[in-house]
Amino acid sequence: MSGIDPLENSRSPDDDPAREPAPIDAASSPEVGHESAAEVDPVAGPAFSHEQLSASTPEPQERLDPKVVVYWLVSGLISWVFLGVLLGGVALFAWFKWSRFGMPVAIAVGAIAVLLLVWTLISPTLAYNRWRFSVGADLLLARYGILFIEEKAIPISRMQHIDLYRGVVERMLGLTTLIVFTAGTEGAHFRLPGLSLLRARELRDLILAARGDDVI
Amino acid sequence: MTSSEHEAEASDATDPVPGDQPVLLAHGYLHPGILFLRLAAALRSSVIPMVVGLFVVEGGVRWVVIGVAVFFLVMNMAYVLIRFITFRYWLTTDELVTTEGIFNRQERRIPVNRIQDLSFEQSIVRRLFGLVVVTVETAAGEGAEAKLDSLGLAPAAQLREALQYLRATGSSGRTVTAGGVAHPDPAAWSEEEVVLRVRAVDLTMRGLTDNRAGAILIFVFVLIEQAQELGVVTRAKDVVDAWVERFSQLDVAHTALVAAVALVVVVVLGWVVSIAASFLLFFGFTLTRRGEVFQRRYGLLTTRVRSLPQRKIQRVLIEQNLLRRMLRVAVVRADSAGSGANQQEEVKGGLDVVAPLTPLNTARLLVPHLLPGMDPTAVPWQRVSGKVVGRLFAEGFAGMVVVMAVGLPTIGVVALASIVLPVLMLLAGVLIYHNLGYAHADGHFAMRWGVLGRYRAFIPLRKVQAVALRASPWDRAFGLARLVVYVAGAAPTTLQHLTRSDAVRLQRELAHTAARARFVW
Repeated sequence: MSGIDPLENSRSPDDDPAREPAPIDAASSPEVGHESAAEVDPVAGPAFSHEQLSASTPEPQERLDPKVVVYWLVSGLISWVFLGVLLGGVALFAWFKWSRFGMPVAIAVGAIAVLLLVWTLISPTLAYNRWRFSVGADLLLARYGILFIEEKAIPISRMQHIDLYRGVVERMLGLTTLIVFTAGTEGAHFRLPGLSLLRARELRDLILAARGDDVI
Repeated sequence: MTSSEHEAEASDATDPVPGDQPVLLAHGYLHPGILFLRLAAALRSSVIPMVVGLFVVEGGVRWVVIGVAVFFLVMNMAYVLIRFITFRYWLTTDELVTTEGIFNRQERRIPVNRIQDLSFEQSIVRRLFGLVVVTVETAAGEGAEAKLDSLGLAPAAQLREALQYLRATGSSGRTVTAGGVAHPDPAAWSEEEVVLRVRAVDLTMRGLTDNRAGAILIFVFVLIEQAQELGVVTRAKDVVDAWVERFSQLDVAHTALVAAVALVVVVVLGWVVSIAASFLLFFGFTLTRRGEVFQRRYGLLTTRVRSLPQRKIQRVLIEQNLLRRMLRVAVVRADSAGSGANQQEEVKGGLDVVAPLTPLNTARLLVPHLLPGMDPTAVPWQRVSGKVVGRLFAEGFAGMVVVMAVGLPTIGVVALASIVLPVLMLLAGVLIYHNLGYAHADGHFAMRWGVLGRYRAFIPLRKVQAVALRASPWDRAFGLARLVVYVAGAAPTTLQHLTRSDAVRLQRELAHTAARARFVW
């Protein structure tokens, strides 16, 4: 078990940002799911193999709307401006009022502000390049994160309700965030940002159709 | 039961059968004894203003203070009285209803199939009055839905029986009602059987193996500090000084002896406190089951009766610290959704404990009761990636490099001692590799961990809300990832040090199986 990884080379869904976005076949997938659900008893039956499962929910490969970069950039810059004013104030105060350590402190604070600005400018693109998601017959899969990569699998049958959220900036850009809620307190909601309104509605309807009335 | 419940619900909604009205199963008022308790509480809270009014302030202010205190006392009692007079509750085959108030009439209706848990609690004072606090909890999770404080023993028992009867017959037990009176259906109404009875020996053992010596030490320190703060015992300081002086004259052997005696005293004191706490909380612990509902009765002074529907269980834990592992005994806990109470309350009241202490074999036998289909003796444990050893070694090595780089110029040769770091981390890696295990079997996710102690968690996949995969840059450098399993009623369970491909495969398997298993609250 220890060093041998049978799947290490065969499939690595993570490190492939260049993959082409391919919309999933929304119309046909729910039926596929119901058929396979009827075949296998989840409690008594054997564990599913990786390959079997991948058939019903595709690997996350759909990308967000590219306009989400603008959205993240704008909201990032807005919060940077607030922080920047604060840090700039501190730097100026240090520069002019502190006799001895003033200059190094001011430079350090200024450097932090500049680094934060650089991060604010580059992180939206990095995040956009990482983001992938897919909605299949029974799962919502999403992969995201810049340094810390997270890949989440949420069973559609567990979703309690679904919100479509549009902030001011998002509305100007024609974007929508889809929020799904599951039961529980910790990690109980998941945000799928940067969707066009049309796609968000499509996804919501797709999820509702796939979920059925199974949830109390 | 759950599927029939849904069918019953559905058919109710579509074609109501004529004459199939909800039947009243239980109803009542609060017990008058609560008035005495409330009066006592009100008096207690007005003691300080009264004392201030009588002895501290003078002149006109005195009467203002006393007046305000009396006013609040009277208002308080009036409120309690009104609440007592107007409070009513009743349970039908459909819902539990409570009403109270005159002007602001408040009515609360809880559908029977939303009721998760009915728990009973009697403090020592309430026991004297024959009172019991009944708490109704639903899946909402944010505390209790309704609190009946307090009922008499007989009405509380009636309420419990009626609810259990409803559970046993499905959410609406209307089929077996006749003439407005509910008759239990003998087939559905199974007898209560005892699953586990915890003996005094077990509770003593729980106290002995509870690691509280440290807590006692802290307690003693705090006590000494407080004593110094208050300056109550300047004489004690002299005494201590005298002792210290006497010790300083002793040779090493004697000092060691005294230290050893002091240590033994602390440990024994810790044991005594732990055993006392163990008995206080869990005295007479009995776990029974009737159909799908478990019930726990326990407590020495404050006695508690808490039910635990099997379908509500989100995670079962078998926990052994080092001592308990050596003695082959274990604590069994079960997390459930919407158990209402917050974490602290849960720990303090032992709300999630299914077995305070029991032999490991019994604990293992308990698991299939709680999670049908899960056999903890036949789990096909799998190990995490062997790369964990290399990873921890690398961490130790990096730590050593940092210590040397910083230490050699400043503290000199002593920094060379950090050479043990990689060795220790290597050892830790090997131990973790051998102890950390996981399995996906019988519709459950199982995980075991612990280098000194031994901990096992079992999560039914039908309760899994989401499965996440995480990889930090450091994880990715080693091709590793961690798996996080979310359930509704407990903190997420994290499995570290998986090979990325294993982690992906496991995540998809768990998530897909969870998606296809029916979720019920």
